Amino acid sequence: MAFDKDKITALLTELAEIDAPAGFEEPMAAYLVRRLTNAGFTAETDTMGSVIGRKTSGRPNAARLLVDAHMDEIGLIITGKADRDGFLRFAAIGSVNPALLPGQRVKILTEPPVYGVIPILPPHVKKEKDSVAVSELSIDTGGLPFTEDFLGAPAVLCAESGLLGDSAFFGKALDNRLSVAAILAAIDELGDTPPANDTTVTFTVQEELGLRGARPASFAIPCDYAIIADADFAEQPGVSSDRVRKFGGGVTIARGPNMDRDFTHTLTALAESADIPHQISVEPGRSGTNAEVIQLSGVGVRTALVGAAVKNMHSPVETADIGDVLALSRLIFAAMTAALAKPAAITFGD
Amino acid sequence: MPFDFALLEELCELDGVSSREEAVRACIAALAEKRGLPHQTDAVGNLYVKKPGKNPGTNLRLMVCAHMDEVGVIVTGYERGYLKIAPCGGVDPAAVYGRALRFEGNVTGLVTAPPPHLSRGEKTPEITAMYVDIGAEDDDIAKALVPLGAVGTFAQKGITFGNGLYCAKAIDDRFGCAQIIGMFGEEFAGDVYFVFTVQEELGTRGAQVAANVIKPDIALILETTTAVDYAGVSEADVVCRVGSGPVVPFMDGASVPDKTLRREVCRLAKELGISVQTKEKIAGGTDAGAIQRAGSGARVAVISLASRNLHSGACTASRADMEDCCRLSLAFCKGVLSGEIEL
Repeated sequence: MAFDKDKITALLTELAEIDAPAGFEEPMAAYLVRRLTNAGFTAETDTMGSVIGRKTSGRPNAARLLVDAHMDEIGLIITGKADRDGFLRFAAIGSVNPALLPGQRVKILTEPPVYGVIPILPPHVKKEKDSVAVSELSIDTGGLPFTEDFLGAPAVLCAESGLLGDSAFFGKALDNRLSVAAILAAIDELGDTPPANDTTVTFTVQEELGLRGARPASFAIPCDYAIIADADFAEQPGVSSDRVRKFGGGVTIARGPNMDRDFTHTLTALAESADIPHQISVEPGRSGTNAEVIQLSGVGVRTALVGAAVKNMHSPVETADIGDVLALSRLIFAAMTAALAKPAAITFGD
Repeated sequence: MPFDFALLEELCELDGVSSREEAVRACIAALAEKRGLPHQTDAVGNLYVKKPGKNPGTNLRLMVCAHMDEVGVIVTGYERGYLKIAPCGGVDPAAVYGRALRFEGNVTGLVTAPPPHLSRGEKTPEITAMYVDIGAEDDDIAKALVPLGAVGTFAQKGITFGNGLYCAKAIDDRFGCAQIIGMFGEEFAGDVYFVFTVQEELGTRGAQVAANVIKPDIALILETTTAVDYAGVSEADVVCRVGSGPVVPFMDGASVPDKTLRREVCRLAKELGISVQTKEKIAGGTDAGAIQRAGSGARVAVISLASRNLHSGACTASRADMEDCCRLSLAFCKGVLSGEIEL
């Protein structure tokens, strides 16, 4: 049984330790190709580095299902030498909150990696109280001489992961490792059984830079349906309540123009019949997830967006409820093992 | 005596937010016990350890002092299962925001930070406006896990990085404690009173009592001090520099150390081949201020370790500076008691 709290916690811990800022996902890609291959998928990486795995149903005229999660995370990138020896200038990869950076330890992913610290500006130096910009900050390398190896090297925030209370997991990059973990657990649960649909799994690159990897990855293998799994916003202090989901409220199933109504209903019905805790989230326009580009991939795809609510998104202490991650995994498993109706092909242009 | 870096690492991992120094005190008392040195704790929590001299009878009372406490946060209330906190000592809100903390009873607490997608996230809130998530569903559960008045500190473990730098919480002032513990095994001509104070971070509060207990003639305060030798900071704001040797200040916000003693510290450094620096900004303060003016007064000297990001989970200091501070402070104590130092 892959849907086990300890197993998924171990998997989340393992995934949190792999560093994969957007554009630099190679270690994660290598890990996921290995995992998919071991699970009986044919797996490879595409031109941009996204992982594409396939497993057929063996059924004639089976529907084609894509399950996608982005595997990248936010990070930093070294842009040059700062105006004092031993310090580096940097820029953000993706949406990084600069207020979280002062006093933060970072791991610069050179070969071998080195550690650094982003200094805290004391009050007598701060230009404007309470506010800081990435351009004002630097990374203290502890006196290492500047070399060209630093130029363009990505970096991640050093964050420890662990359990919060009995039922929550925290660490960096839960956006979107929680979905990667949910898909891997669903595949493990599948074991040697063929999926009910011809199944493609994509672990895509560069989502945090603007949904860049999903377009070519979803184009490679045409599909009828796509389930996009991504972190959703959890209720927490300081966040307006109409955009957030209940933490511990089960898998989130999104409704809105970015999602196919019928397919979303199908998934909701699957959740209900399998007793999977779930909650509806509403995405009024473009969802800001890979569902945006996958819906419009090729001749168009019937898309559903599912996920789990995360607190402190894009911080080193992203937090998810383990029960929610398990519910997400179970729903993905349910979709993989339910024979979806094969839609009629679009022949109008032929 | 080489500096015992592993001991510093061990001390930094202990939690001892101001007024809750028990774990640090117990560790140091056990080490004194192991050496067979007499020790005692006073009413406010200061720990005294006496090292008897080889030639008892000298009238000079030497006190060597470091503080055990560290900055942190204290629980002031609850809201929807989250902890509400206030700073305990001078904590920069940026050091706490979006970080993992550790509360009494080894409870992990995460300081929540709204996602940048849904908020204008650039502003760091005041610590009293922050919420700490301990995974509790409501206030009653939270209260049972972390009671009112419980303290918390930074959860991240220390790392050594770069060119021999150490980054950890509480180097301020476990480094001073580690230096003194290193002196437990040394021989001095006269008696030395080692004092580990409490509540320095709340305004050198323990030291006032300690000075009245010991009534020193001369006190050496072993501390850490703010280095702001960062990129993007003008030379005028630097204060002192990591890797440029022990800091021997002529003045800070709380005291003007004894001029003769300072001159002697600098002379000793020269003899030992140690380059020293001073504080280039009159700011901050140490137990020296309280000790200098306790009772009928005492002559004080200060030797500090330059540290970046001082009141955060990422204090950063040079191991080479640590070695030099150690050699210098030991030479000073020996010199005072042997009469080599001109008083």
